Amino acid sequence: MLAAPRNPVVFTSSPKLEDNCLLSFFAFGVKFELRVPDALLSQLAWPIVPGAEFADEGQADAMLTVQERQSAEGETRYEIVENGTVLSAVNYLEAAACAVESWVQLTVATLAKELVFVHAGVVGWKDRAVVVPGRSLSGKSTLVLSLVESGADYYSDEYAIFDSEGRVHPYWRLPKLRVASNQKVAASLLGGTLGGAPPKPIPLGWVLISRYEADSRWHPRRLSYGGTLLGLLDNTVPLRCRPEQSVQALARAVKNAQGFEGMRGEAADFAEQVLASL
Amino acid sequence: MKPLARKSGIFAENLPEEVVLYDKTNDKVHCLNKTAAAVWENSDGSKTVDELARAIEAKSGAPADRNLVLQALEELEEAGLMEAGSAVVAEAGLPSRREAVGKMVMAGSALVATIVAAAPKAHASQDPPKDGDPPKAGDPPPLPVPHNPPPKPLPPSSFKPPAGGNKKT
Repeated sequence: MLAAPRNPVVFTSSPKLEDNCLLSFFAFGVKFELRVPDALLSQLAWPIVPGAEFADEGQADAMLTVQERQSAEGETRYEIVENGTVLSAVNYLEAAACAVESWVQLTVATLAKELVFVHAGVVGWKDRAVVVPGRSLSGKSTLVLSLVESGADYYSDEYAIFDSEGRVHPYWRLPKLRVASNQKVAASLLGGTLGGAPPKPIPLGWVLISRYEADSRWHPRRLSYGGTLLGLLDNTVPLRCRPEQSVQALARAVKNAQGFEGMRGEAADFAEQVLASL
Repeated sequence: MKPLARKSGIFAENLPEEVVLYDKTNDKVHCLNKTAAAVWENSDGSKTVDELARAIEAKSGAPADRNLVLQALEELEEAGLMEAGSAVVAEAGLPSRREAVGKMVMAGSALVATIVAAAPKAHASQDPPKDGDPPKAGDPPPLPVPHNPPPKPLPPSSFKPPAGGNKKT
């Protein structure tokens, strides 16, 4: 559905870049330079990408700039710019911080050469990874939190990271839930855990391709290896950039895993039904 | 009619009982079941449909009749995995199976399943968390709405970037 049209606000001023700060860091083998206004810097959580470390100056693999613009009416807009292209624009610092974090993480997921990032929630269960593929806003974080509450080990609510051996690495950050009360539950449940060392990479055990339908029970059908692989590839960030590497790493992973597809009901019910069946 | 598979710009990954193909010309990924994979691999432009059926049967030991080979050829053609001019569908007079080849579904009698590789930026979502706004499974991620009220900030992380960044630009 199309959004209702809004009165256009014209931002005519030149972007203010003189107050920009430079954050230079490494994450998953990607050297990143991020230029943000001073005011935005304090809004950014660090590490902006799990495991990121500050880096010295030098050739960067990726650069993002946040430009601050003013309208004639005094309205402020923050534009996230990559190579002269505005990726997105928002009007509030907090929203800008969320957008910057999202773009930085996506860029790292795209460029990390040794790893294949798949949009998915991940938990550990019986020393194997349970991967629930899904794009942003598909309910991954809620599912992951429910699985953790049911006894699984937390790995990620955003990306399943596969190495060339097909093992799944953690994406070690606090799950992001859209409902504030659930966010508090996540912080309470995982805050202490995330302060420790991330868990070790584990082999892929199960891929669960699910779609929400009210009052559904989890009665999945078994997927073939190929169907399981397609389910992962459909959510693989660098698939177009590095197709061979992506397909090979994920194919290696699914050869020792089981894939299931089905409808799911509420996250808590799904979590209990899933873990009881694995 | 001697079908010829298109193999340029395509790389194959073998799985038990299936083959996954990545077509670099259009960024599509195809999963071929055993029959479709055998037809694709054996369609070298030198065999008729009947000869293909016999070759596949001899190689796999499984029965592969003319109709099954024609069905596989039709689906391979629809997926763009045959060289132009195969015209198997028209010659065979079979009903189109296009509707049966659902995205990501290897159900029923579909021999070829296809997805399109998304561009990296298609994975983006900058929608901040909002109270009382349930996720909608399968919805495309919306772009940020400039006039929304600011979201509640996430719990602070234990470590903040240094004031002023690590450098001033």
